[in-house]
Amino acid sequence: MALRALIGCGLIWLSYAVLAQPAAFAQAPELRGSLTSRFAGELNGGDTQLAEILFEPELSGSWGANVSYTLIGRARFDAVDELEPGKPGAQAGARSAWNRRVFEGDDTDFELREAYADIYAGDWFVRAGKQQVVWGQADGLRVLDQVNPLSFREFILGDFEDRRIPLWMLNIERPIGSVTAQFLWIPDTTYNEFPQQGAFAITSTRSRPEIPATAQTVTVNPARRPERMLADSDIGLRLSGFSGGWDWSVNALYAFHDTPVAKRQTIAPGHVGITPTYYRSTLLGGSASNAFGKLTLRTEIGYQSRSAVLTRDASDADGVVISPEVSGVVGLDYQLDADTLLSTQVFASHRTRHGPKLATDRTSSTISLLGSREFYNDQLKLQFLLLQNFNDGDGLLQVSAQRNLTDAVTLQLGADIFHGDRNAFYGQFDDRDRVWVAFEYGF
Amino acid sequence: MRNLLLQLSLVLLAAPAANAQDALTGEQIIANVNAREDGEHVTRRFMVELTDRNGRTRTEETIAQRRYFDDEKRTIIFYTEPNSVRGTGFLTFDYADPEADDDQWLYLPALRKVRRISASDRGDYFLGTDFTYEEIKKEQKIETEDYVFSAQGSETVDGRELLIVEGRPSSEAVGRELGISRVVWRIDPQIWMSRVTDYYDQNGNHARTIELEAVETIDGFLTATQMSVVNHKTGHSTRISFHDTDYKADVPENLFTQARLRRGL
Repeated sequence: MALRALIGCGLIWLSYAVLAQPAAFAQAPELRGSLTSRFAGELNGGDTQLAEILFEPELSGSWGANVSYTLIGRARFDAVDELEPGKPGAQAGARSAWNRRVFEGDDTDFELREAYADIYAGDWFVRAGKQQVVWGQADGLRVLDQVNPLSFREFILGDFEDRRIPLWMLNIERPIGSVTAQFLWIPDTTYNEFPQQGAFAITSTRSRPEIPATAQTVTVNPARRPERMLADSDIGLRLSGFSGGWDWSVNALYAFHDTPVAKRQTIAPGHVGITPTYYRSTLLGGSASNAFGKLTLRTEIGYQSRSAVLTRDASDADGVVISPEVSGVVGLDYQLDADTLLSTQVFASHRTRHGPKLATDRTSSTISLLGSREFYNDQLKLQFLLLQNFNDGDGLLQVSAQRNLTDAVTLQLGADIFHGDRNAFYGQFDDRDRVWVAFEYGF
Repeated sequence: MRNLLLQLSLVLLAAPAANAQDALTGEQIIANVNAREDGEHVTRRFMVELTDRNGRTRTEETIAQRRYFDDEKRTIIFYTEPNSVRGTGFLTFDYADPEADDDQWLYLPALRKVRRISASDRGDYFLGTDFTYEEIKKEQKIETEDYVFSAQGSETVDGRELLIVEGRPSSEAVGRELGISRVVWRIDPQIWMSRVTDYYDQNGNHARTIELEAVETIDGFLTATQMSVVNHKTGHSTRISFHDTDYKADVPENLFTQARLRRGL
C-alpha cells in the first residue's frame, strides 16, 4: 500500500511538473544501432572461444521539450557457445524477475538492455527505468562504481558498458546551489552474474567454502537472493560539485553486495548445507580529481560497513567472516600530447577485522598501467593495459588495435593474456589466453 | 543595439581608403579583430569533413553551445554522427586569464563516465581535426599576449584588399606550446576576420593554411559559417561547416555542467 501511495504521489508530481513546462514539438522516434561480429580463439590449444554476432538496436525520441525516451535491446548469437554452454538455466540466483534474458536454443539470447525516460521539470531531472549509473573516477578498478552489477560471461574482458547489467531504478538529480544532488532508488534485486560452466566459469578454490572433514553429505542450495521489492531495494545518494579546480563527490549506497558468499550450515550431523548468500552493506565514500598541466589526478575512497569473506577455519559457525573494509584508488593520467596517453592506477583494500585462515589477504593491492596512442587523425588507436595484483603476482595484459575503416565500420584486433597462480583472481584463467577480432557496423 | 553600433563602427572604420588601413599597426589590426562581437551565447551545429591524403573523406556532426560567464567562456559539444562517436561530449571552461589552464571534461558513452582531462597544449589538434584547440577556442580571434605583431602591408586576394599581419611568438615557451615560429594573417577589414592564415612550424616550414570560405550575418553577428584547413605536412585536411546557428535561443547556465554532460544528447 505504501509503495502504491509513493508511486501515485510521484506520478502526480511528475505530471504536474512536466505539464507546467512550455510545450514543444515531439521529436520523431529515431532508430539507430550496431551490428557486431566477434571472433576469439584460444592461444592454448587453438579452440574457438567465441563466434558471436550482436545486434543492438536503439530507439529514442521525445515527447515535447522535457520528456525523452531511450530503448536499447540486444540480440546475441554465439555459434560456439563456449562461454555459457547450453541454456544457462534459471537466472533466479542472480537476476530479478524483471531483468532476465530470454534464451532461444543454446546459442541465442535476447535482452532488453536499457529502457528509460528522461524528464526535465524545472531544476529537477528524473531518469526512470532500466539504466546504468556509474560512480567514481577509477577505470576498471571498482571502489564507488557499485551501483550496477556485472556479467562475468567473459570474466572482466570486454567494455564495462557491455558488462554492466542495467537495473530498473529511479534516478533523480537536482542542483542545490553549485552542488548536484543525486538520489537513486533501485528496487531491481539483480546481482553479479557468473557463468556456471564454460570458458570463464570460476575455478579458483578460494571461492569454495571449507567443508569439515566430518561431513558425509553436502547439499548445495540455490542462492538466497533478496527479492522483496521494497525491503531489499538499494538506495543511493551522491553529492557532486566543482570547487577550486577540483571535481569532487560524496557517495553513499545502501545495498547488497553483488557477489554472494557461500555460507555453510550444519543441517544434521555429517550433513552440511552450502547456500550462496548476499550481504547487505553500506558504502560511504568520495572521489576527487584535478588536472595539473599535462597530469590528471584521480582519487576515490570507499568504506564498506560489511564485507564478507570465506574462512578456511572448519570450526567457524558459518564459514564466513564479516568485516568493514576500506578501499581506494589513486590514478595519474599523463597526456604526453593530444594523441598519447599514459595512465597508472594503484588500488588497495584493507579489512579492519581479520581472522585466521581467511581465503583472501587482509590487505590487497593491484596496479594498472595503460598506454594508448592515436594515429592518422584518430583513425587508428593502439592500446595496452596491464593489471597486476601484488598479493598473488597474477595479472592480465590486454593489447588492442582499433581502425576506423569507414564512418560506419570499425575493425578491432586484440589479445588478452592472463598470468599467475591458478587459484588467484586473474591466474585462474591462465589457459584462457585469447586473440580476437571484431567488426562493428553502426547505423 | 550595442552590437549594431559596434558593427557600424567597424564598417565605418573599414570604409576609408586602403591607405588609412595601411597606417594601422599590427596591434591595431588585431585589436579590431578581437573587438568583433560574437554574442553572449550561441547554439549551432557543425559538420566536420576530414579528408586524408588519399582523398578519403569521413564526416562527423556535432551540436555545440557556448555562453559567456562574464569573461569566462564555457562551451559544450556533443557528437551526433557517426554512430561510433555519437554521444561523446566535451565541456570546457576557458578562463580570461591566459595564464590559467582551461578546465576540460570528456564524456565517453562507452565508459558512461565524465573524465577530467588535462588542458591540452593549445597547439595540439582538436579531436582528430587539423584545427588546434586554440583555434577552435578563439573562434577567429587571436590571443594578443602570444604574439609580437607587425603589419606587412596589403594584398589582393579574390578581389578583396586584405591586410597582412605577421605574428611571431612572444616567447620561446609560447612558440613551443603553439608549435609555431610564425603566423601570417590576411585580414579582411570589411569583416575583421582573417581570410587566409598561414602557420609555420618551429623549424620554419609551412605547416598549415586556414581559409575562411563563408561568412554570414546571423542575428546581427558576423559569423564564419565555413572554413577549411590543410595540413601541408600530412596532406590531411579538415572543413568545418556551421549551420542552424542561433544567437537568440536561450542557452541556460546550467547546461554547462558535468551532470548535463553525463546525461548525454
